[in-house]
Amino acid sequence: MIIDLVIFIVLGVMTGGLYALLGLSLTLIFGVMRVINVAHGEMLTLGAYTAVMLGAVGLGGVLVPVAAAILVVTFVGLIIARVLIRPLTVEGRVHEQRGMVMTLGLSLFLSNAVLATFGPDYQRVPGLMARGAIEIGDLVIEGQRLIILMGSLVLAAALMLFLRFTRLGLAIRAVGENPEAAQANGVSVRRIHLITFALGSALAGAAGALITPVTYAFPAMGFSYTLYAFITIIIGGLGSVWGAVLAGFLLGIAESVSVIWLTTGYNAMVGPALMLLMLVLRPQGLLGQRIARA
Amino acid sequence: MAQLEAAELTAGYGGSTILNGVSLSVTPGRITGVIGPNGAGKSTLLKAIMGYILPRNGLVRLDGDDITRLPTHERIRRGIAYIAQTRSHFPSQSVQENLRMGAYLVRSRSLRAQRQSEVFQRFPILAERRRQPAALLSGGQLRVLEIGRALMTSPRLIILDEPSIGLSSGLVDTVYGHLRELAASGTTLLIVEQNVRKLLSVADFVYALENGGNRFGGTPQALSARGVLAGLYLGAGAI
Repeated sequence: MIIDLVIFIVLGVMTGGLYALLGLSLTLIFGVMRVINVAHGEMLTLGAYTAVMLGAVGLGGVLVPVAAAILVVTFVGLIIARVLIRPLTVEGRVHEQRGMVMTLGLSLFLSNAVLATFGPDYQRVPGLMARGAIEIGDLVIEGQRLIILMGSLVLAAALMLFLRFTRLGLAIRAVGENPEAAQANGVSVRRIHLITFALGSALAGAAGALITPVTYAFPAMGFSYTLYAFITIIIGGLGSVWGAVLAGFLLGIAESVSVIWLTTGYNAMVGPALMLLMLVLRPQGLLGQRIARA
Repeated sequence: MAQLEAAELTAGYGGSTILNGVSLSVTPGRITGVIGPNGAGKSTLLKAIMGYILPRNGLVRLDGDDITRLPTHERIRRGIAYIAQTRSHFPSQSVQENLRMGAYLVRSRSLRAQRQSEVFQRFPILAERRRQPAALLSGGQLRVLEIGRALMTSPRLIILDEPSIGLSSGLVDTVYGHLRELAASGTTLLIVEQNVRKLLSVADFVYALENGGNRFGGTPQALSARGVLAGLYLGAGAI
């Protein structure tokens, strides 16, 4: 029993890293731009298909697909921010409802564009990145899952350091906390919005490239990741970077451990249930602030 | 020549018009005040001057250059500093981080350090509290922090929206003492204020707005002599 628990916790940490990365990137976009980005999962889809295409021409490994996904999705993110989000921005703030409705439309458009381009089939990178497994007693950790965890942690840490210690990171945090004051200090809110959206999207794209070797890529894959990203940041507290990391791991572990008690298949309801519970008991989330932005 | 000039500014939010052809001129090295009852358009005027809202009509000139359509951060780059009515700071960041943010456009590390020590020298309370989050500062200390933050770019012109708001009269005197010192050292100030008496005691030139238009422009002495205040705040019948 205890052994089972430990095994499932370790497996939960593996998926938790991915949830943390998705939540972190989504909360960055929400915290700074106040855009409820329903198309976040589609950024992951684009990253996944980037990896699939590279796999098809024999370019596997970890670094190349991840770097390529980051490049591709950064570019797409910049275009979206410039062409679709900027027109919804008035006096340094994105119109919240219009922003959400726009990304909803964008999500449908992108998943259908992927469908039209690559067809409905499930695709995968043919085991190129999978490298053996670590076995400790009953605990089997596939190499690729470890790579997903490590990759997620490295990217999340890089983002944190960037936000904490660079001039650009300082400006991004400033726009998130008080856009008018940031402008009064000489920060271009337009530029920061472009960079933030591209950065957040790129991290989701990287996640897509990391997971394709263990999962299938298909046109509608993004939606469930959008859902999990939202569950993560609602549990963690909207706009809270550390909350997203904490909630990501908690969610991964809870989902994994629930398998001990729940029939397989029902563990998909653990995340939504936790989110509802959080909304009732502590609506601001684990590390969220009660105070709304001015 | 006027350092800052607004000519026939018309502006508002959405469909509503708040400013209706307001003009104003700010002389270098002087304190220019703007007064007027609630809703006269004082804050809107400053937001249009700063580029937070784009005027529908009229011009804003800085040193003779047309800056009407320039983004806010470019105006800061050109030597204007702006202290908004409320929350012109970052509550979760420390005093020192707020000052660092104020020096966002100052690329040189040594220049930033120098300006910070100048600010700490001018306002010792900020040095004492440098590591505390701004949220823990009192109202008066916050206003001092916001002035200190504005000084980090070494601005030629500082625009303040109601520096006395929410402060006790003792603190208002302290804050205005600091502002007077700044003006004495050659910084131009444009101040919008509800606290008319205080503003008139420091301003070299004062504008009165009413219903989004110019009502008066002249020295504080002329303002008092003509009895503009009574009309402005008590209604036309009181004149």
